[in-house]
Amino acid sequence: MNGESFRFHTSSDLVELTGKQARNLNELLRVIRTARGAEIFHHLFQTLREHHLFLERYPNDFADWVHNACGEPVLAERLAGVDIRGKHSLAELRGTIVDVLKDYIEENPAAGTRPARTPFYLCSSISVVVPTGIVVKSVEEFRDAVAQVSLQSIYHHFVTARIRVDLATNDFSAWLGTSMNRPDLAERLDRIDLTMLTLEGVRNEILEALE
Amino acid sequence: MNKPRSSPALDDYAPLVGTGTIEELRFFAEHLKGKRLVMVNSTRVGGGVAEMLARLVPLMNELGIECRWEVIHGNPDFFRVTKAWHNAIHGAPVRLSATDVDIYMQTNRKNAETINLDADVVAIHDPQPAALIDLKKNGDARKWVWRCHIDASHPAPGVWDFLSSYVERYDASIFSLPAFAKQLPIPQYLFFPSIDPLTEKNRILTEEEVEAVLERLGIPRDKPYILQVSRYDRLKDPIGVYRAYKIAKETNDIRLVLAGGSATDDPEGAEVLREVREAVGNDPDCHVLELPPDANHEINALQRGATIVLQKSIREGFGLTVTEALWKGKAVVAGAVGGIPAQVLHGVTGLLCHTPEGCAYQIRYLLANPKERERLGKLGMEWVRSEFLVTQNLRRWLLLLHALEYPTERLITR
Repeated sequence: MNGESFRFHTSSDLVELTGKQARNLNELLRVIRTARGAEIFHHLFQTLREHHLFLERYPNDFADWVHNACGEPVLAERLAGVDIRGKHSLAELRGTIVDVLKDYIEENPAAGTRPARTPFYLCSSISVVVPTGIVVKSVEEFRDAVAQVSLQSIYHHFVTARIRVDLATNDFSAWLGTSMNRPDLAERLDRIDLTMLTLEGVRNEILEALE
Repeated sequence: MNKPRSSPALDDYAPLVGTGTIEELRFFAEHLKGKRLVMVNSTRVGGGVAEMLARLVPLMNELGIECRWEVIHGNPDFFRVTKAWHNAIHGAPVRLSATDVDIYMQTNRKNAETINLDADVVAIHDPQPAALIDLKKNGDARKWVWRCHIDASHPAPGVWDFLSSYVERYDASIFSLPAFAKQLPIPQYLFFPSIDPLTEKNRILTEEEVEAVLERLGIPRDKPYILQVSRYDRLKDPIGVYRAYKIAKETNDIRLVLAGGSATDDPEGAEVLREVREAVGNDPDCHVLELPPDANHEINALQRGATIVLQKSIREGFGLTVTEALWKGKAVVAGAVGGIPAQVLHGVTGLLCHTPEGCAYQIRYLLANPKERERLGKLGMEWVRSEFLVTQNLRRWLLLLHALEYPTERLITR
């Protein structure tokens, strides 16, 4: 794998409606327990793409709905705190969210059946990935490319890659660490807190790390 | 006045959405070149669907998709029936009659004999041509998609039972919001409605152009004005808007502009307009305007000149007037109904309200905080750029074509 070039791709998501909805926290727990990976992905990651426009919002749909529709700020904060970094699969993420919800409902049984102001609609994402035609073979070329590719491409390689390749890392770090033999850069990029930055901010942090 | 070309090219959008976005559309279309898509609706002029198709179809072709637009023909009886059914899907208590079903089916059968649906994907818009699905045969290689532009969440049962027996035979359906959809045994996709930033209603205007319109409409610029653009309809709550203005006026020297269509052919609209005029009385700071249907330039100028744009609806479809105002970087105060909360993220891209008092409170807050108006306006514009422009609509259609044509392939490798 040493010396392999890096091919930049970009992705875009088509949103599918599942017809499933939740009108209170108990129903949300039930819906999430049986949700497919693509559904969990949608509500955690699709929103993260949108969230990168608005850091004022919670970083995932579950936290946002719990706060705005159910009026449960404590649970919203706990759900917002679920860190997608370090998780190896969507099943693992789903398990974490289920645990947070279950614990909260056990602590606050009345909250489980309290009607939400608006329903939670479970959706799913169909990701379509295309090559951008940009191929790089060195760290220098890589840096130039990161400066020019679209934010969708950054999102694809840096955010969703963690789940897609079933790694607790991202495409950039994986390539820098293995193909470029630069574990120092790989680790530095891995430490970037992607939930607290705009995508442009993520790009700038990467560029800074590569200087 | 520089009028935009009737059909802009994709590159014309680059200054507004970025060259990267345009480039990505080309990447996504590359794999679909030569695919044939036919769009079918019931009118070529008038209405949001026709406006949307007029822009979408040429852009699809520019990207190498062979996209055609067919229109079904019907007599006034057919359109009377489908108008009633449109209202029924919205929840109006309309009874399904055998005569109406007969009129509907006859028109669809007649169109089926002449319409050219030779394509890889057939996209049928709204209920009027929905029964064309009868042309789908066993082993049909074509994919059939039903695009519902209406809120179908609480339809009148009889009409929906009849229509859904057709809708369920499609390969996929598209709705404008999760809340507008019905449980169906076919895949359902989410496509937000969109606006075109290059139309006369949305293109960038010079300050002189804005001034000229306001002068012509008799609106002095001696003080800030708040604006609501919508037809005179109780569901748009124009009286509530006036009440909100009166409360805000106690502490702020402002004007109110209500801009709606002429109510000459709409008895209920005329009544609401009369009520509004009565409520407003001879307040010199209130301007109740009746604009012709093609007053796109005037609406654009009114929105751009406003300090705050309101859409205090009690019930709403998607609310594209909100999208238009957000796109112009305006601070928006709007009712939390229909598609508005998807656009106005409270405290982020605008402010939501539930009552005239709440509306007044948010108006006062925004008048007192110009920096907040600027912040919300900027983020609102970015949100529209990200989700609600015609280029996003185009992207969604490309992704759908991909999902239909290559259901198991998610990574396109050229």
